[in-house]
Amino acid sequence: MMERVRLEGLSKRFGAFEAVQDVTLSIFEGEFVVFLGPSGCGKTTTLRMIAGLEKPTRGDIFIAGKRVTQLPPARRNIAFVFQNYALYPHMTAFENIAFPLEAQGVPREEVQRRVREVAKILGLEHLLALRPAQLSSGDMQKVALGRAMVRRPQVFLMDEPLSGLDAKHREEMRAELKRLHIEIGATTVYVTHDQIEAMSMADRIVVMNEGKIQQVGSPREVYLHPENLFVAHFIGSPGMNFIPLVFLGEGRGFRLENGDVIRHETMERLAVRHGVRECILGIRPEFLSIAASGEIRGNTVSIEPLGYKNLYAVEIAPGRIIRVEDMRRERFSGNVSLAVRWEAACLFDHQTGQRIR
Amino acid sequence: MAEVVLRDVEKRFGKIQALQGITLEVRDGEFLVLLGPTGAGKTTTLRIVSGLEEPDRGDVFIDGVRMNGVAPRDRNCAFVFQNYILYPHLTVYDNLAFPLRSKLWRTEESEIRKKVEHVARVLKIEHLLHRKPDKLSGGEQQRVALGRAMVRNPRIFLMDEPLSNLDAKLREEMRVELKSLQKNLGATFFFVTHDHVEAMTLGDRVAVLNQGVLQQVGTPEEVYEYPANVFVARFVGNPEMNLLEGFLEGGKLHLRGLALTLDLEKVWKGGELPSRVLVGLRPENILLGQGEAVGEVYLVEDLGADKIVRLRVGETLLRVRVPKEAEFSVGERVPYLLAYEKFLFFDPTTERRLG
Repeated sequence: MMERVRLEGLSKRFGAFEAVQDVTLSIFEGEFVVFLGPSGCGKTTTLRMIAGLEKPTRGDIFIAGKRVTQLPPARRNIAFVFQNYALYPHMTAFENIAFPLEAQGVPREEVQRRVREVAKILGLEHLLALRPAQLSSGDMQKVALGRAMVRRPQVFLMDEPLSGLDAKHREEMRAELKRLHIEIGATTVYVTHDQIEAMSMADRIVVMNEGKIQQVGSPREVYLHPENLFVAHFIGSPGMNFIPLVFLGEGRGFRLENGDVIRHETMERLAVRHGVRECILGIRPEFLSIAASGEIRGNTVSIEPLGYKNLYAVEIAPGRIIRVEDMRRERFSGNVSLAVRWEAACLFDHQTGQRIR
Repeated sequence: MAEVVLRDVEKRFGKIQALQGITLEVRDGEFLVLLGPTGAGKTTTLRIVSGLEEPDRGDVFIDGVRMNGVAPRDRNCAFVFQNYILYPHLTVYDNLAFPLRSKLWRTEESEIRKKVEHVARVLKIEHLLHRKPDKLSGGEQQRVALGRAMVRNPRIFLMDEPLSNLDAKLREEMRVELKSLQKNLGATFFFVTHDHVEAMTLGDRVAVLNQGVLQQVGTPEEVYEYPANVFVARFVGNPEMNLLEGFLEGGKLHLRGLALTLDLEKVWKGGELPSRVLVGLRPENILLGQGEAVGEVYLVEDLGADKIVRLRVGETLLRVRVPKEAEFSVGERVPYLLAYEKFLFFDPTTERRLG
């Protein structure tokens, strides 16, 4: 696989604030990489440094093997798609898409040909004569994409491009963008705070928090094997459940907050090997089930119907509420017991928040 | 008792008919969610109940008493807004005490202390009482705003998108808190949102509003499984319900988009149908890997707990929910099966559900 973008020890400081700290990452040709994190985590600053809109305090950026750290945005051969489209209101969709080519002095016939080609891929052919004000928000976003695509850049950079759309349109555009990526295979770096967008679109997700990379992996990897408590909580809706445990020693199991003891050989071995006493059991809501004789006792606080499944909130110790998914129509209330699918459980060190492996 | 009844309520703003004959009952102790897109008239409805707006026509009753013309403060409703406005120069304690110190509700300081401390305990903000709002997180600020509504011990809470300014994680947590709070208080909650997940998960019942017209009132399951019309069918649920054009001929249902012909008696037990119908089917009611019909995987979206496959059949794209363990790759040809017993039929002209 060819490396298309390389970030090496990239850092950015704004006054005393370290927005991005020592980010090193390779992005390969044709990859769809999503930077995911809460606001202020440094994801947009990283993207802006790749674009050349922000100068790194330390570190280097390579695009297609060439060091571009000192180059202005226009000389990096990238296309930036913003959150707010930034279309020219007085120009038609055609003119908006054609603009970057005309600015480069590309001959008229070639402009025509390339704009039509892009419009066809995006399904915009019948809208080319309209101005932005006459387009839906989804179509405006497509025109903005078209304007980026028409230049055939080395890399697409996208900063929350769907956040201006309402929920229904966002869902549709998410699918269309992903499908578009499958068809044209352009290297894309995409920034979002929405974990569903990241999960559903990315080849790899880069989870960031407080300026640092927390984990890089495929959607499945970060979902099933989060490196730390932050990733476990941030990914998933709702996030992973955290159940505090005290390890009592091999063969003796773990004590839950309510005093019950649970046993699991593999987990105990992990705890021994890691020499940990206080730990956290991480388990996603769909890997817990309401069972006749489960390991964890609790009391139902609320039942949230989602139509095709019910989401339970279960209190397993005073103030400790965890979420449980159940596909059955039947509703269970009051005292319940929960069975754990151990093969999908994670153990974290309480002190460091890191997963124990 | 704390019940709210709207009867034939109409409201016009200039040329815009904001509400067109709304009749709705919020039962005592119920969590009722009013759901709809922007501009549906949700906030206007809430403002009419609170007395911040007067209806042009129709009546508002609280506990059987007609409220038209009654001042907001005399309605014993608490209003919680999306933009909870806390006084920045006051501590959390003083913010909570504020309504009780107003001329209207003037209360002894010792009594105020009791009430504030009680509310703080219920909302788990006791440790924040001496902080100023700017030292609180978004969720904590929202709890203080709720607390300020609670101190007067109103029986009816009117809530206008109170969670929409919180980030996704916090919103999920606050959802559970709000629902158990409502149960513990035994108060009536009349809650407005544009988010169908919030509506489904919070509401004892959900009332769906669009363009000033009430579309359906029912339990979350009813609204999801038996939407009254195409609007409700599409607005509730994620991803959207599949809607397929069908026509009937000689006891057969033809789904042209799928090039599929079915015996009508297999999929429809009701009375007579028009010759053209819209067939609705939820994404989880299409099964992949079995059946005789075949489609091509157009896209796979991993949502974590499950996956969404977009299956291309001719020019039609079907949305299919599959278990998280299922592996499909783009371009793969896969057999699919429609769960006939889950078919919903809509009249394409009126868009109402049939049967």
